[in-house]
Amino acid sequence: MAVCIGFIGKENSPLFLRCINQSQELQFHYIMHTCIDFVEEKIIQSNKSGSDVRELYLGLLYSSEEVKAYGFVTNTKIKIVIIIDSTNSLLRDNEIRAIFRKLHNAYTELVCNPFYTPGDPITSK
Amino acid sequence: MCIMSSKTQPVITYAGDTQLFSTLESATVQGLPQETVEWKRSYGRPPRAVTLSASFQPFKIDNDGFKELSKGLKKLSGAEVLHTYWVECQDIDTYKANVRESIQTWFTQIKQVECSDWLIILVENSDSKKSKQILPRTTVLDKIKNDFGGKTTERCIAVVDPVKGETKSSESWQTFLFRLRQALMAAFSRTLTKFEETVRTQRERRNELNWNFCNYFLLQEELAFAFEMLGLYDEALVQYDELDALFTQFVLNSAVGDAPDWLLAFQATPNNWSGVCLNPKAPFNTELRQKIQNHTMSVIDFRNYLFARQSALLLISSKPAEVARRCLSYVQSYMYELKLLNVSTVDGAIPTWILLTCLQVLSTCQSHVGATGNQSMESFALLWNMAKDKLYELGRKCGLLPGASVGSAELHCVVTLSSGITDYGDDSAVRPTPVDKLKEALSSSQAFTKHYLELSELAMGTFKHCGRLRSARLIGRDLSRFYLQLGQPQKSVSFLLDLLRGYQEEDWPLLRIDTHIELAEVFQKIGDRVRFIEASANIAAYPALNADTRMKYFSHLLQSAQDEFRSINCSSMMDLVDIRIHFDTSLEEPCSVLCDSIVRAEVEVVNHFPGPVKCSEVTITVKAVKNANDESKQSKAAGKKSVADKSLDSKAIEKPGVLAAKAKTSSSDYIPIKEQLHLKQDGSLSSVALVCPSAQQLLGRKVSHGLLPTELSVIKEEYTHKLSVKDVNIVPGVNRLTLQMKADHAGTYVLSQFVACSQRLEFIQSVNCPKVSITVVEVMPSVTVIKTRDDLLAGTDQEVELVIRTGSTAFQNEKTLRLCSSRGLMINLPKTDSLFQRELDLVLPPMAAFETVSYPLKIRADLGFTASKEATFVEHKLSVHCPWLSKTPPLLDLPLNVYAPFTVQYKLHTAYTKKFVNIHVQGLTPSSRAFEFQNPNVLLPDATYKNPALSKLEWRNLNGSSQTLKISQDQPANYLWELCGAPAQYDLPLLKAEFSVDYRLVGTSDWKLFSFNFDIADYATLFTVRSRVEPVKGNDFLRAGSLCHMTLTVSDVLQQASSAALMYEVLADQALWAVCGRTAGVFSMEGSSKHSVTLDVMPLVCGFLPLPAVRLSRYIPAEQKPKETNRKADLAAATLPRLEPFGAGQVYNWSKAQQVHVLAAPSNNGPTSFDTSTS
Repeated sequence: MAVCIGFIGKENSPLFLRCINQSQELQFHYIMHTCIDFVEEKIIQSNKSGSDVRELYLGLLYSSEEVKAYGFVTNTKIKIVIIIDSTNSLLRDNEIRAIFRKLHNAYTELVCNPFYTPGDPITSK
Repeated sequence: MCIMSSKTQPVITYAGDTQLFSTLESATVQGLPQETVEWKRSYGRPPRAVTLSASFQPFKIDNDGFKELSKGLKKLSGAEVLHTYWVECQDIDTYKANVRESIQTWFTQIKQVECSDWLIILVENSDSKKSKQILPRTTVLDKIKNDFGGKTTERCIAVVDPVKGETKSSESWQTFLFRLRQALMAAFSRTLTKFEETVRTQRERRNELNWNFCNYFLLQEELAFAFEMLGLYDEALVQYDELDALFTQFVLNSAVGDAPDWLLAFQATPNNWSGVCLNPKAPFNTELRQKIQNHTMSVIDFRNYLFARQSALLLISSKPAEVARRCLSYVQSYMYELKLLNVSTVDGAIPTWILLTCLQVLSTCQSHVGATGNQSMESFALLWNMAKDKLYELGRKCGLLPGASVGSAELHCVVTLSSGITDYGDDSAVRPTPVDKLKEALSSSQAFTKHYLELSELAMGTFKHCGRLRSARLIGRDLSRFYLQLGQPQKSVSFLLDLLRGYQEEDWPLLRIDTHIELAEVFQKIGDRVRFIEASANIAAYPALNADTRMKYFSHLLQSAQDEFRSINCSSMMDLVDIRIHFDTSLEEPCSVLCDSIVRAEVEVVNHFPGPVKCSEVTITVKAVKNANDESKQSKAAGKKSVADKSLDSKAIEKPGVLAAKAKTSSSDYIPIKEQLHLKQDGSLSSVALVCPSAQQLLGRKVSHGLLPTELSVIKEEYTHKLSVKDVNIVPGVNRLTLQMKADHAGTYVLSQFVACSQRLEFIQSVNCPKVSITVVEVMPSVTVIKTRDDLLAGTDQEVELVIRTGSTAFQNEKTLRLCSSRGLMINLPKTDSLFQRELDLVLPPMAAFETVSYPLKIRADLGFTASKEATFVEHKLSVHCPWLSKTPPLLDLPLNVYAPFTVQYKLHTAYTKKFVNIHVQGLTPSSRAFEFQNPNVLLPDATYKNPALSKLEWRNLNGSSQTLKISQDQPANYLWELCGAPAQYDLPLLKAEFSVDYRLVGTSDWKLFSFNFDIADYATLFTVRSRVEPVKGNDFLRAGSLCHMTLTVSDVLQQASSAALMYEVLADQALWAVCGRTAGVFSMEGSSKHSVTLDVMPLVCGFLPLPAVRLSRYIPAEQKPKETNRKADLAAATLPRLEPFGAGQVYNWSKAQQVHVLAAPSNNGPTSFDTSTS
């Protein structure tokens, strides 16, 4: 299970960030923010390679002794980042992809909501 | 390397003529790897071109080996893969004699060995061949092939001894080498396949109890060696990677309680943490391999060995970036493994190891990376960062951080750690080596600081270099903390501000506040009160923070507010949620208020501070955009245009709406919108639409380059007005305030900033979005004239009303209006008993705004113009001198159209010598406003009578005595006088007469005198004309179509005919009369008083026909000078004959309007009559 997930808007402002352990929230904010660097780098790389069908899943963005961050970017430049514990070896690439797909679907549904203005911070109970 | 390569090389045995072979051995060993050979591989793997080298050993039967081989291939290195038999045999006889037998022995021996690949080489001497018979039946080679070759005759090769150095021999030598390579490759491949089989079997047995990873490791590593020997570095790397994965899997499994015994050996406490050794000159650490063979290594040693091997292979295939990349995951997974394996280590050993590994890898890679620059930078940056972090950790453990105290525990730590670091004795390494650096860093606090800063600088620089600004800034955060510990807080400010800017730009509130908290601490240390306040304000206003922290900083803020003057951008602290301005909806302009009124704005402010803020004043500053004059002009122009547009008969009519009019005045704030009326062809309305003409531009995609800029600091802008409220306590949460402003100047204003002043602090926020504008409209005082009745009439007193409206400004004092009328117009204020005059002063009392007063005003316009026929009205004007007007002179012209009530015409009538004066009065007013006339009179001025010729002139009144006439549009009046006593003579002077009459408007009491001057000319009759039309003789009647005579008789009335020549002209209507012969003629009256002319005329139709008209004119011959009259002719005209018409009263025509009766044409001889009748 992921320890933190985050949605980052296309202007790189956080839309939504939720983590299991509230005391680590600040730390995860820092990690998320740094992840934007990696996401941007990966996007540039994939643009250079010039493949027509863009892979939304970016793979591993960042890893440290404690955590690993995986990235996903939608066509509208919404970045989704999942942070998992480094010691968690049970989650394979496929499972991470599945999580991203679900998160992406959830975000799509949110955007379909007429009461939500795209770009606003997401509030959820 | 040498040791290793000889081990891994496959072995070829030799037998037979060993002496012969020794001469050839070196040439063979050298020649073998000179060319590549294609390796066709099993299991569908792609063929590779490889270089093979081999070492030779004499063939011997080894019993141990025999046993081993029977179990399967245990060892790859040093395995005998190919057996060769070398023989030199010149002729068949020798071969048959002994060679054959020895080959046979060798052949049976190799059959016993598992590896049974063989080659028999027959070395020939070229000159010996020559000595033989030219065509031997069979050669030795054929024989050998026959005896041993079986199906594989290519295993028997003949080679010419290359020592002889002939062309033929070198060619045969190359063929031999090629054959040898092929054979060796095939043999080696077979061996390798067998070995792989062994490895696989071994791996399958990994769960057995007596299986040991170390043994397996060494076994599979041989495979890697073999691939490395073949130059297949990627294949070799795959072997290591497989081993790596296998080991990792074991470790992971051990975590769930499945730890095999051999793994326990790995849990030994390491005593060396010098990191990975990546000495390019010694890619093979025998010492460590020995430990593996002895099963005495720790996991740290094993990992070091494995990573060093992998790195060496990667470096050989020139992938230094990959080394750096792997290093990261290697270090991380390694730490994880240590945790899983429960390896107890000396405190600080692991960070030391990581640090050294990172530095080692970095220094190695950077020396390799050279030109391949950027792609590896990212990994480098991460490595630097990790090294930096680990050094910090070590510093903390060893008490080297600034300000830390060094106790015995810390000293012990330094000593222990230093003992575990050894250099690998690589003298060629660049000094200082990572180990040297670490030792130095641990030696003293200063050295530590220096190294730490250096590492941070490198990490930060590398991150920046590869474009990872956020990561670079995050290092700045660590650095700022370090500087803070170092007691140099001012150095950390720039790092923190940089961070803050980044977080603000991308809107990360939590991180922003965290940075603010750190900044607050720093500013407090520096003593920068001003910026401390700002940071405190930001922290206090952040709702997600815990209440204690917020209150703490809030109290800081309130304290500082007393003595520091500071403007703070408060967009995140006091949020201006809503502004509502009460506009005057009664005004035409949108969003406008009246000048001099009080503008009220209701403002909703959300206070995010945890406590109430007492504000001495809350204001919203207002800036003027344009002054009122420009705008009113422009909007007027726009208004006019709309009217013009409307009159066009086009299918779509556009009319700028209110918004459009505004759009011209204040460019970007409004969207221009036009009203469009679509008309059908018959002109009726089809549809109405609102159109935005610049929709293309407005709806165009904007480059989304970001959010609204949030500025760090704000400056209070200049302003002209402010909406304000004093002494407010802004409580946490929503506050509703009512702000006021006096609108004292007309114009358009834009709200600019929200300012809340609390003690010496100013919380400022720009009111940018949406832009709110106020238009202050000034209504000028106005003066108008209202007519009381339909039209103003001249000649009689008319009442109008002077209306004065004050507009938006009150008249504080009395004001004097001076009224001036244009010529011919008199005015009078009935209230003041003054006379009619052209100028008068009107004193206005003080008046309130929008008050209206009206004054009755009497005007009297002259009737003088009524004589002219054209003008029925005169544009008079009333000029009002208004002191409030800005122009000079402050005159306001009010037009007054005064209409004539009647017109008067004069006409002179003649009856032979009698003259009558007719005055025709035509009313112009409707009968409801008729005029009454009485006492008409005609007078000649007295001077006229002084002329003796005119002294007898007198008027005979032909009008009714004292009748009052009523005239209106429908009812004209005529007055008639006979002018008697006029002398009968030429050249009478002009009579200037005056007609006067009393008149009044029906319903009024006063009679007024109206006089009308006119000139009477030609009041003496000079000639009379009489014309008759008679039938020709013999005819009794006039008939159409038959000639008749027309007789003109001109008589001189005065009997004193001068020598003047006259000319007559008959002007017949050509439809009625045809004049035969001349229609005009000149004659002279000289000597007679009468002159007759007879003309032939022919009536063309029957009926009562008017007689042809006759015109008499004075004829002036060519040479004769014109008569001395007031008419002046120039000399050129005098040379030609010309006519001078008589005045209207000078010639009397008797026959005017006479008619004759003309009968029809004489075809029917009916009775005819002749008759003249006077009408």
